[in-house]
Amino acid sequence: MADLNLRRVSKRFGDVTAVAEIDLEIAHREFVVIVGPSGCGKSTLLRVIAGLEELTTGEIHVGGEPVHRTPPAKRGIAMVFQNYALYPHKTVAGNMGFALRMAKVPGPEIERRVIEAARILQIEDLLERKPRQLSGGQRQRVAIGRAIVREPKVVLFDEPLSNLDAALRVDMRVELARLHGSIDATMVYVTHDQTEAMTMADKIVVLREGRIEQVGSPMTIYHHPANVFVAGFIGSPRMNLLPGTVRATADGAVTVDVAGGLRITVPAEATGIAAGDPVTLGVRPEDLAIGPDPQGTAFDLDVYVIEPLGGETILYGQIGGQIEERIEEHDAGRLEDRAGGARTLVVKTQGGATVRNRQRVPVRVVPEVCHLFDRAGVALPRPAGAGDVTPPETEAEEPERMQGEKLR
Amino acid sequence: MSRDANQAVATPEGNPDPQPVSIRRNPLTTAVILAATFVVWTFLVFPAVWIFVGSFKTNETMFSATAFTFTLENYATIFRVGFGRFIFNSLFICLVAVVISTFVSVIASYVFSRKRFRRKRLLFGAVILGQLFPWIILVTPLFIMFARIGLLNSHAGMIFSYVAISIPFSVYLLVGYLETVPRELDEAAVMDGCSQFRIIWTIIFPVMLPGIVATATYAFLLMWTEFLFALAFLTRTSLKTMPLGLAQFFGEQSIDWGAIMAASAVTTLPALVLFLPLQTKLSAGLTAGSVKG
Repeated sequence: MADLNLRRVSKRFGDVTAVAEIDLEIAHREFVVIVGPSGCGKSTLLRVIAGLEELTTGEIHVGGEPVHRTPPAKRGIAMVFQNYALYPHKTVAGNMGFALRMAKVPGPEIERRVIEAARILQIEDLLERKPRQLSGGQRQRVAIGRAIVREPKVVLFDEPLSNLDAALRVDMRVELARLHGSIDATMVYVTHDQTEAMTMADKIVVLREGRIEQVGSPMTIYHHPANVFVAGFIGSPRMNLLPGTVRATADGAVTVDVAGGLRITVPAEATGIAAGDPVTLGVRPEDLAIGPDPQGTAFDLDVYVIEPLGGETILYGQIGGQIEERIEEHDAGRLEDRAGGARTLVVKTQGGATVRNRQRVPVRVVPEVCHLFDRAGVALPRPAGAGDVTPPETEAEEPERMQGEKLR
Repeated sequence: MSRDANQAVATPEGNPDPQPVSIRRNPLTTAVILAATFVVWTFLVFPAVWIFVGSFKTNETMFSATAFTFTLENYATIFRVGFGRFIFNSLFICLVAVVISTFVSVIASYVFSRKRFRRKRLLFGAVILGQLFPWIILVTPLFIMFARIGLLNSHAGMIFSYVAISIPFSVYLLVGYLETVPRELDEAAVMDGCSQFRIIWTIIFPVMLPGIVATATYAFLLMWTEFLFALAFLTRTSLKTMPLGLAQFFGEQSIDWGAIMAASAVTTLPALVLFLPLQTKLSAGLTAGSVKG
């Protein structure tokens, strides 16, 4: 068994706290993805687990054994580096077998394990080549091979796909998922790419400023983000976050007034909030639909940018007027935080949508899929079962897309 | 036909030649550059050629532009008076000194490049400072020191001083080179179970070999032609190095030009043999090192 436990792990560099009191339990053979923006401490956390950085406080256990005072090579942990870090003067076989030679494994055994790992990664033909004779994707495979040939209990990946082009990245993502199924190791994967996180993880850890914001399965993180940060970080395009004011609270329901004069009653526990409090209403672009709503919960959206992606179309619009100004800002690239923009709304629709630029369209909101966050950005708990409701079209589409990504 | 026409339009000068048009220099500029190169080349190469040819001439025809009498007598002379011993002394001192200096410099540069420790900048500055002293200043203190500890007239003393003078610039060059070697290589080696010493010698050393070769060659050539320390610290003939041996042929009464030519040729030869095959690595190594210092 190779479960990995972090207990109150901290890492400080001088006055800077890179990782703060992380508690994390990772089960045997689990694929855990640590995500977060640049500088959130995710790579440092990985390096602390690997032993490349000494932890300041806390404990790390692998398979029940404390390893935080053990040298890196003796922790049963292997690591795949972002820039591969292959030894340029050694052949592929030499690179892969190096750790085993250091561990004084007998020659024939090294050869057997190198060939076995090469077979799993489909690099058998490359064993006699030098790294400089390999393409980026091949180098990445060798780097992974070097990690798994040691038969480690835990494999750490530090943004392993970020140096690859987009097409290769998708392929390698699938390869890694396949690899995870075929070897007996726990995997911890660091990335800032939330697509990688969503598609590969059994469990996602969202990190910000050295602290864990939320831990959960991809679907939990997606459907029940613990706070505004997680809500905005996971999901593409990002969740629409609209400022609003609480109008009334009832048992398991909160009525909110948001921009554009919309009043919406969202199922949520009104703990700690009262009428008049500021809140943030979160609704994912894919949970919005074009068309009038019989119950009247709809925005009037002035569309200013249309991004047709083929299978789907992304609309950027504004609740209310001032269209010209927004177009200019969007073109100038100033709308980076458009999900945070008070009156901007992003809508993801089917590819066949016939909306034209500068058109005013009604956008339907289903209260059951809306998220509410209090003044501090913490999500208001939803009544049991409420959060799992998704609009009919996305409910059918979502699991299928997820599966498709994994199988491709 | 139409493709040719298209390409003719595409070339900036309207040149119908389908070959891509390269940037051409003004013919005059080319001529000036060639002439300048030729002048420099003449001053650099002519003396070497003149010495080489002269070493096979008899003393009678030595300074004649037309007459040439081939002889090996000059080489016979220098080896008869013990020049072979000087060659051995030089080779021994320089090779041992280069090996020691390189060994120390590789480890020192690794520490300077990779380790965090207090007063690192100060210490590195102190190492570099060693490069700034004119050697002549060092002769007297070193002489007194060597006299007291019995290192005058010894190979060990020469090796010691050559190691000392070559370490500062070797460390400087190698630290610059190491900055271009990604740290992840070290970390991968740590994960693979290498000891600190092993990382340096099995991973970093091969990777930075071009830089090491460049640095070691430079150090070797510096020691090979060193005259001042050798003159001060070596008085016993059997211990003398080649530059001193060469100087011996400038007698007070007469100068044996033939012997000087032959000795000069012999002195140049190892440097050439060592330098030419490494030329490309040398320039690559020095450039890579110069990116960051």
